[in-house]
Amino acid sequence: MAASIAKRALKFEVLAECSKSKARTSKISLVHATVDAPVFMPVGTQGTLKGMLPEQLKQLGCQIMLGNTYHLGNRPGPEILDEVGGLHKFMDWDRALLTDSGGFQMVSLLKLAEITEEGVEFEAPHDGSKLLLTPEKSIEIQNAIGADIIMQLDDVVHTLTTGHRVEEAMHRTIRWLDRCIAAHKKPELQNLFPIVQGGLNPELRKQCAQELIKRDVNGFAIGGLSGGEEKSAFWRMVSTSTDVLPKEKPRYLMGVGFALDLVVCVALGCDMFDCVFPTRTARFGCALVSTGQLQLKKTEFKSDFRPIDENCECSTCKKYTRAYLHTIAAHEAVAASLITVHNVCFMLNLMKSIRESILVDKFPEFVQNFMSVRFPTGEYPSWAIEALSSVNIQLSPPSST
Amino acid sequence: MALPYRLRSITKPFEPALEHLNRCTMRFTVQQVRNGCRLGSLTDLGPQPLATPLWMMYTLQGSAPYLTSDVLSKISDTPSVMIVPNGHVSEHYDAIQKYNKGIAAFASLPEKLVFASMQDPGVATPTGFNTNKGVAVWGRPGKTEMTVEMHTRLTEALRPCVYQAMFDGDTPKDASNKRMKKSVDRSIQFLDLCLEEKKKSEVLRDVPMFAGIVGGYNKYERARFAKEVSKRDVSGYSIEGFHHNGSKVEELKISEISDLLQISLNELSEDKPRVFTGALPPHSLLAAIKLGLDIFDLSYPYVVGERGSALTFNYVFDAQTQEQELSHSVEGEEGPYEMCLKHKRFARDFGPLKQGCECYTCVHHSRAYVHHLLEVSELLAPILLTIHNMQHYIGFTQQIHKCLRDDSFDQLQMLIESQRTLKG
Repeated sequence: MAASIAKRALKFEVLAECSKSKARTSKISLVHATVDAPVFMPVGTQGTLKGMLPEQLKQLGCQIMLGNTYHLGNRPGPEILDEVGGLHKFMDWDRALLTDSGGFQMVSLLKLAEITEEGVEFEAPHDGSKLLLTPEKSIEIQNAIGADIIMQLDDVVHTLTTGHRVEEAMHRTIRWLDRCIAAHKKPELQNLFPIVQGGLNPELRKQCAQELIKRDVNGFAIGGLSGGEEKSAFWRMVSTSTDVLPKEKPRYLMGVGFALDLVVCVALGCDMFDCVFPTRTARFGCALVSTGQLQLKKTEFKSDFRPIDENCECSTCKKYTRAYLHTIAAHEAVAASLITVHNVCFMLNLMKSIRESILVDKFPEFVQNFMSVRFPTGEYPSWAIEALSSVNIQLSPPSST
Repeated sequence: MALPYRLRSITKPFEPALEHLNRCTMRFTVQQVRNGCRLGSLTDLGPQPLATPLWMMYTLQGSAPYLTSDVLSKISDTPSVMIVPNGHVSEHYDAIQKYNKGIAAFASLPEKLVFASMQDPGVATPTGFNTNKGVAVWGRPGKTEMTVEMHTRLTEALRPCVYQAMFDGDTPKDASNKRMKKSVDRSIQFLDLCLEEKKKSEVLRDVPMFAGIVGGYNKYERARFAKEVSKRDVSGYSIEGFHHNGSKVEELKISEISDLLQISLNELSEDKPRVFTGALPPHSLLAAIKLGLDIFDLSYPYVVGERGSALTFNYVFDAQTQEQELSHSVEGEEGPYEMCLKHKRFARDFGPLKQGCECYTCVHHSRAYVHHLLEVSELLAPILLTIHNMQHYIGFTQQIHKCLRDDSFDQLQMLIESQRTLKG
């Protein structure tokens, strides 16, 4: 019975697969939106994507965004969200939402967090009282927020941790998953995704994924990465995980959002990504372009009357020059909004190009072109060469023309 | 703070003006004077005649505060003219000059006309920094000491439709007579230099220049300065020397300056427009209109938004909504015309910022949401507040025009006064 109910909250349809790599393009149908994947999900931590109206996000074609359970659980809090009928209504966003479990923030933001079998114990930031985030509590808050996709509470260890603790965290993550599944009250509206853990140990990753796929869920996440580990270890963990995870369900690689990482991890079979980087860096005056980044504060842009990107269709590029952005970047609030609009647009366009290339089975060509533009001297990072070659995409030097 | 080096070093005159530059001589006609209130029309400034009383859009570095041009377009009937304080843009003189199409186009608001002002009406101007050589203007890098030469070059680059001559309006209420005399002496000197520069400047020759009318709180100095101005060829007047901008202007009592203002106006031509910038709350604005002032700006809604408040006062003659809005208690720093959405009482209030308001914010978002955004210091909070507050104040200005035309201005004044005394 659970299976038939769960199916209604998410439908996954693979439209095309790359004939060489593990890349695929798909449609993920959720309660509030149908999402074209591979997808980049901008992060709206506290019920808003910083500096943008929800309507502007929609105009850019964004179909799904993130909220953070830890922050939203603090303010406005689950009671208010329940009262208003969820975060969608609270922030006026009628497309899809995804929330994390809150565990990651607790471990990364709060130095005093202590993890026990019961949950994550931490000191409340405002009054220092002891609070406990259990798997049940996390799901309760996420049920109140009402996102289309919610995450299990996982036992997060720092990526560079090794040994017994990693194994313990992996097993605990599985035990907590079962508690989350039991606590989940809205499976007909919200999809609970388990999270593959296991640090940088391929055996643990495999074991974890194999255990998770026994559960009746609609998709999976790969967690515990992008925390400063070696890139060569990073991609191997991603690939090990996607090898185990079923093809007929979406795979979400958590916290990954540099353009290069996205392209490589699509090749490794991931469908969903999120990262604060594009929006955070915008607020510091950094615009994303196909060749890399423009630090608009730099004096070189002082009299540069071109848009950030001549080929970009975003409202910022249609109207604003680099020179004007230079005068306001990183200190006038409106600059944050303008560059955020562009950076989100850049990420969404990148994903769109990826999807289109997979659809016509030209993804390897897309990757080659992407790499040539980004690394015109042909000095591709070795981890990217290795990762791509592991899925049969061999890079050539950029063509001289 | 050092001068922008480029500004200092530039001595050669501006390149020949471009064909598309508006070369116009502004015309001002007072169409109606009733109870002191003037209805007028400014023609030949932009493509359309501008009706006075006129409100200029407040800007920060050429943009509406917090709003991209895209989001600004969600506000209806935004002013055609935007006020650009020198201090915001002097740092970027180089780029603006090179761009060669003026500050409005540079800031991606090419359809707006520019009023170039010395000071920023929305932020308190530090006092005690002017010298015989120049006037301190303020922006992000701090102080810039504007000389007449720099002022001219910068104004050329901005391509305004109207600009203020340089003046020293730094005369606090408690300023000594000596200080006020100095402000007048200097301002006359600056004005003469500006007139000379204007004559020499290809770009500014035909751009109307308004004299800053100073003299502080001293009757004699007010009269002396205004007399001097009346002998000179300026297109309009900017009433200065009564306040130092920013939120303190909300406390300015128009009744306390009306006699002094009258002394200035007595010496000046009646058929020239009079600007009065600053964050005027509704009752002060109406009082200022009654004193015959014509041009204002939208720094008040900005100042209100900066403290997390939404404007909620009523300006339509509808007793029902009025009662509803007035029923809440005033808390903290909340003024009589607003509600401060930082207060806990809004945490579960899912209604619009103001009942019946049709602005973008009120149609899409609730008090509870804006309260939350303020609580967590999110950038969307001032965006939503700016949209609402600007739209609300623009609605108020439209109502003022209506009331001036159908002779119900006193009624409007009473309506505003009742809210002020009830809550203030």
